[in-house]
Amino acid sequence: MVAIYDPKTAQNQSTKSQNIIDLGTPEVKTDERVTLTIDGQEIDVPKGTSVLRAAAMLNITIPKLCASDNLESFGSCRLCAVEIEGRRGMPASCTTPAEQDMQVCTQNKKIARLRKNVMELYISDHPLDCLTCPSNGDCELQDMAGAVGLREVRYGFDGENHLDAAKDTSNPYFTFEPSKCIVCSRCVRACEEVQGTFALTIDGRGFDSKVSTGHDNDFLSSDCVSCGACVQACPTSTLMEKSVIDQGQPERSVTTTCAYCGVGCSFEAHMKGEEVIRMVPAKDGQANHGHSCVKGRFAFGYATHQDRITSPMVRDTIDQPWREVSWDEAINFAAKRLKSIQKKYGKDSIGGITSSRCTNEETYLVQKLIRAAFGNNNTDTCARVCHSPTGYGLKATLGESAGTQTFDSVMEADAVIVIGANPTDAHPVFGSLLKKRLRQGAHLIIADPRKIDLGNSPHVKLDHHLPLRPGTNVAFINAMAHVIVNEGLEDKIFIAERCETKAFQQWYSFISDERHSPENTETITGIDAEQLRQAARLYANVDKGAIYYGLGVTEHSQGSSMVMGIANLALLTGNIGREGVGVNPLRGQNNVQGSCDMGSFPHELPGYQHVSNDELRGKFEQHWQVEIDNEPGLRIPNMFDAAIDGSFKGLYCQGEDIAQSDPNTHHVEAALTSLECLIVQDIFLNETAKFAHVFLPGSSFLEKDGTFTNAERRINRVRKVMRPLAGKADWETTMALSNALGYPMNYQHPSEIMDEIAELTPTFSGVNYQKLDDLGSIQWPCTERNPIGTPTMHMDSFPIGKAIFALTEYVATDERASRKFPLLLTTGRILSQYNVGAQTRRTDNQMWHDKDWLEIHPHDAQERGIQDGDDLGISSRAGDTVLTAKITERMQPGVVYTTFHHPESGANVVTTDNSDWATNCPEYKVTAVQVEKVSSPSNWQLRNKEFSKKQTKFLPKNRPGKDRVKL
Amino acid sequence: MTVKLTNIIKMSNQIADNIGLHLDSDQAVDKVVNHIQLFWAKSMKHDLITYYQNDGNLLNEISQQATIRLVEIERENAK
Repeated sequence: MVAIYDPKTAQNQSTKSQNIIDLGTPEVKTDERVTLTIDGQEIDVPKGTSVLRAAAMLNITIPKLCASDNLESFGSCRLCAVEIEGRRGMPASCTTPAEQDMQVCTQNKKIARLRKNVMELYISDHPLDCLTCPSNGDCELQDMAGAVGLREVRYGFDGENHLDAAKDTSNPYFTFEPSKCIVCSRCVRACEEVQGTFALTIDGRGFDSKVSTGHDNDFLSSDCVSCGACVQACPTSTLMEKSVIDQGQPERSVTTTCAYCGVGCSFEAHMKGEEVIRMVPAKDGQANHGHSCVKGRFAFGYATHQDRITSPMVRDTIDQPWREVSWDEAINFAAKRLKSIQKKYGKDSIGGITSSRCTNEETYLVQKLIRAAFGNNNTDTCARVCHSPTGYGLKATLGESAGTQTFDSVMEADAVIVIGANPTDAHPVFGSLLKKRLRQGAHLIIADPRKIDLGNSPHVKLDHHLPLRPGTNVAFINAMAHVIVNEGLEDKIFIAERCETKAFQQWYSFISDERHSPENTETITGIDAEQLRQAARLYANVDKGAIYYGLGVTEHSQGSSMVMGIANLALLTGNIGREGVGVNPLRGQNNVQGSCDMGSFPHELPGYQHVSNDELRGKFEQHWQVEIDNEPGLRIPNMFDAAIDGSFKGLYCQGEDIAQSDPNTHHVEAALTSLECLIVQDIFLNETAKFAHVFLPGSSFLEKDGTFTNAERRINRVRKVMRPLAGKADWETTMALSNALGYPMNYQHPSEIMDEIAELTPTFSGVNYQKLDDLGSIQWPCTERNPIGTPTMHMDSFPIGKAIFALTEYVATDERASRKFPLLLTTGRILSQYNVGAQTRRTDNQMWHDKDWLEIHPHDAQERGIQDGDDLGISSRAGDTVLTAKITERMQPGVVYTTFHHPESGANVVTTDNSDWATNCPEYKVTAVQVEKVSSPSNWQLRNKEFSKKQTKFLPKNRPGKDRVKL
Repeated sequence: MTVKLTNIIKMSNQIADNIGLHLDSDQAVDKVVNHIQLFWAKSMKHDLITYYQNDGNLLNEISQQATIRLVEIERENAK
């Protein structure tokens, strides 16, 4: 089989050829340089660079199998042997550092013979089934056999071998076929060095060596998190995507951006016609550098799932079956209803919600539609319920509503504080980068009510876990600042030069008060005072301290105060405006940063330009040729209140499932039922759509062009790889609705929308599609002064001149544990599922988390006679539901935890409408509850089951796509 | 009392509790008014004012003062 392999043909077919060349070993960063000669060509490289890499930089290809430039050199395959003048033998070029005046020969008869012998040994214990092998045409072993000119195997194939080793098919997305393994350890090293999970190891010695997932484990039951790093690293077909096994090698590749979390990984969509065969993390992706997680890498099947609704539908009331209609009819039906509502109830009686899952261009259009065609500012987005306090808090202190760093910046950090975030689950690719830095020795402080996996990662030392009580963040952050001030650890020079003096003095006097001392706040936060003091000293004393935070900071009644408290702490220690430091909000959804940037909030036009500012608003009015209301509109919770009150009657909701994701489900359902026209634009009949009158089928990220902006302000291109299943991309649907309402929109391509955004938004003024294609991505601000973007913010000055210390008094939330509700519920996410689960529930990720659990401490469980797996009734003042018990010491006594990935769980039936004082961001993280064993579902669950069943029956029987084969 | 009005009162008091501390009453009122002007919809401001004019007892001191200021601003704007 080897004999007939033609590498030239294989190269043309391979999608690998489109990836950037693998230089064999990682880049070495040093100013010291050495010059060496390889095959007569001189090259100057950083000292410490391997000979293999230096040769690759000269376009000299040395055969290799165990080497890859995303892994440390290993030197096991011996294929990259070279000769070096003055040295004995043939050293492996991957483990030999280049030296000054070194003379290297990469090819001669002796080397060729050695390489052929090495390959011969490999192939003597490898199945010769190339023609039927799934990696045929995309196999490094095959390539190397061709490269060294292997023509025969003198040893025969009858000796002892591994050809009968059993295949592990337990993982839903890839197989492990050990008979094809050459034990190069790339998978093991990828799991360690890239992902940081250490799920794989080499078991046994010598001939018995084999890749193992641990004793008595298969891939599914092991610690493997299915990130795909091992599959990517495997040079043979040993670890192989099941989709490639089923469908064969892809034929083309398109670079696009993942539509899951706020890391915004770049992927190569490997295609065959209009079918996605696999998603491979882009090596040159500037947010992910070739890494991925189980969601982006494998869980894309939802995009073509049979549940996709691909025809527009309308109905007069929600008690009626849906009628499939043409696009024109649906759009006109929606427009007519909205107009008639405005005529009857007034201009402000309708509004819309932009989607943080859609592109910047689509989000921009929806808010433009609302402001220009609806004629009001009743626009909001899901950031309201996640990171709106970030926008408020960072703008108030640093002058810009965004994080300050790149993800890569963490590799320079000396100490990292993670507050209310769970990066290994919710932002896994950044989590892996962070773990890499921690394994290099950076210090780690975690402030979280739960023990999160990051603190328990292999070879990561957790310096301090500060297990604060939910709802006491501000008391904690104030105590941290108090210690630093009290012990004189502040960065006086930074404060004098970069911060507003009067505000600092006022704050200094505020924070110096003894009420903020760790000893005095210990009874509030539950954090041991000495631990907190040590953590504060650690953060203040390192050269570079970085803070990463998530929804455990923002989703509180004092979310905005806490964000300002974090900014205060960074300013106090001079940890702003450099690499390795900063204030880093880990944004939830793929484009939540973008949806905020694009003017989704009711008080701000794109680029955070306030509607009340005549000059700024005037610019939009002139461009859009329409008058814009100069007062803010309603936020999502205000829309719900107004709907129940009867003054808000129509809502256009794009790509957002408010019925499942927003708190106090009873209240949300009452609001949705009060609407006379609910237009839902989504790819599935989500929970919100069950209350809708118009359903406009949405398009997945694979079906359109556009851009997403990730948590590091990076604008990344989204590229269309297939036609929209329903015939329209979301931006085209919004245009159609606007035109039907009488406000003309006529964009031919999303690039034209971006041009308009750039014209009206100062921080985007230098952004265009050509530049994005040329540079790969751009971090805003991108202006005349920063034409290729701004990786690190606030290096020389703040947008407001000098930064402002904000007074952040701790004000306890109204939501407190009581005799009736003695426990505090906090909510979060898990690795395999994403947000409301609409996407991941329609993939094999269900295998890891097919329902939401209630995590409870053994002490609380024992008190209530609760066993693992018991049905637990959980009740709050808002409502009650039933979840399954998981007893775990991750929790602290008195605190319980659940996720909200499954609609039938009704986690948000229990959460309340308490919210952040400044932004109305709901307080998901603190709900006083009681938990008890029960034997039947809650009334809400029973009602919801019936309602969902009825609504599903209302779908047309023979709708297109119903029989679509799940890929 | 409607849910909407309950929430309006609660939000207003929360803003006062969080912004108003450590400031003299004039400064605190300024800050609360500014916040409401920047972030609240017309209808919400109107609801707050109407509640204050009809009852207002559930508003804390700073919120009451801020609402009086909002009434004055509305009057100014109407001129």
